[in-house]
Amino acid sequence: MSGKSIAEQVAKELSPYLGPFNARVAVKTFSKKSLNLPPEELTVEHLPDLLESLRRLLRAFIGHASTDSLLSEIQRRVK
Amino acid sequence: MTRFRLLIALPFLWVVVFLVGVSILQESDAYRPFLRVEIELVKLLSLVGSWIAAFTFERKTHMRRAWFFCGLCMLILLLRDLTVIIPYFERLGSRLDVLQSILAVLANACAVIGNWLLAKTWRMARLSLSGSRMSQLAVVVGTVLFAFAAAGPGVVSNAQTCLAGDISGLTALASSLADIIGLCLIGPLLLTALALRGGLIGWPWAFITASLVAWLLYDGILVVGKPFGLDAPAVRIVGEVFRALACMFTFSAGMAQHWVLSQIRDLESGQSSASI
Repeated sequence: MSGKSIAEQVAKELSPYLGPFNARVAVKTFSKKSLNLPPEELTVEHLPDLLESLRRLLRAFIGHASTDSLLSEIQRRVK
Repeated sequence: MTRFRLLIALPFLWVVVFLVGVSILQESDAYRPFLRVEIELVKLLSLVGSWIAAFTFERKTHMRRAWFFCGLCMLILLLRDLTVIIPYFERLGSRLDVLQSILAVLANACAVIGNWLLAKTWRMARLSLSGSRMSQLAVVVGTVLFAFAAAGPGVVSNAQTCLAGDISGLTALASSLADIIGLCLIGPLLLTALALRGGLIGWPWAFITASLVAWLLYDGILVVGKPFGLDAPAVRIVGEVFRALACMFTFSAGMAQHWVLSQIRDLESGQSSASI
């Protein structure tokens, strides 16, 4: 994962679930909406807030328990 | 991935087996019972798939409600079919028509609610749909036009039957109206499936869209069958093929939904690699 930005890493982790298109768009959209930052400026400190903002999207499709599992996994893998 | 490919193949395998059965039994006394059993089986599998998906979600979640109503539609249709199959209900006389009409209206209302809940998920999730606004609009308008072309004539003729005082037309009218509404929802469901393509979460949406397209063709064949030179038995068989596809794709959608959630939940225990 090293060498990739936080946004790229999160999008890569989401991609198997949301598809590559929506994974990229979701990270871009929620980093702008929730953190008021372009995705390339995200740092690891922003990760909890970014994942929290993605929670609503994921919950709508996969419910609470699966969302918690997926976000925990992303939190663990992205550095 | 193999499991999801199996879910793609299953509806078509079912149709092949059905057509083999038709070709063998068409001239025999067993033909009508064979059709009846096939129809009830696909409805039952549609119910099973929908409720497996529903009960994989936690209580009070949007998706659980959506899948529950999709399954409830099939349960009510199965109950309605019992009133056709079991001779006891013939004693009800004209009240049987009323009972069947009420059950048909309830079933169709459940189908509309279920599909509507599924179709609005992308909005709740603030999902970005793929394609330009114009292409999205073209998909929605196109499906609405197809829906009216396929189910519209049925609405008109069944409304005329009802207005003439024949309550049995109410069943068909409710079905036609629900078909139009349900088929109009193909647009948002298709766009959701396209937006999620390449991702595990997109599988159930692709299957549920395929199911609604099959229902569209089921309605369509009743309208265009005769002009295309098909006689009544042929229209019946083609119609049953599309009904089977519609129900079996719902089964596939429900199973896909269950497997997707199970795979994601296994992440925490380290059993899943999210391979697709």
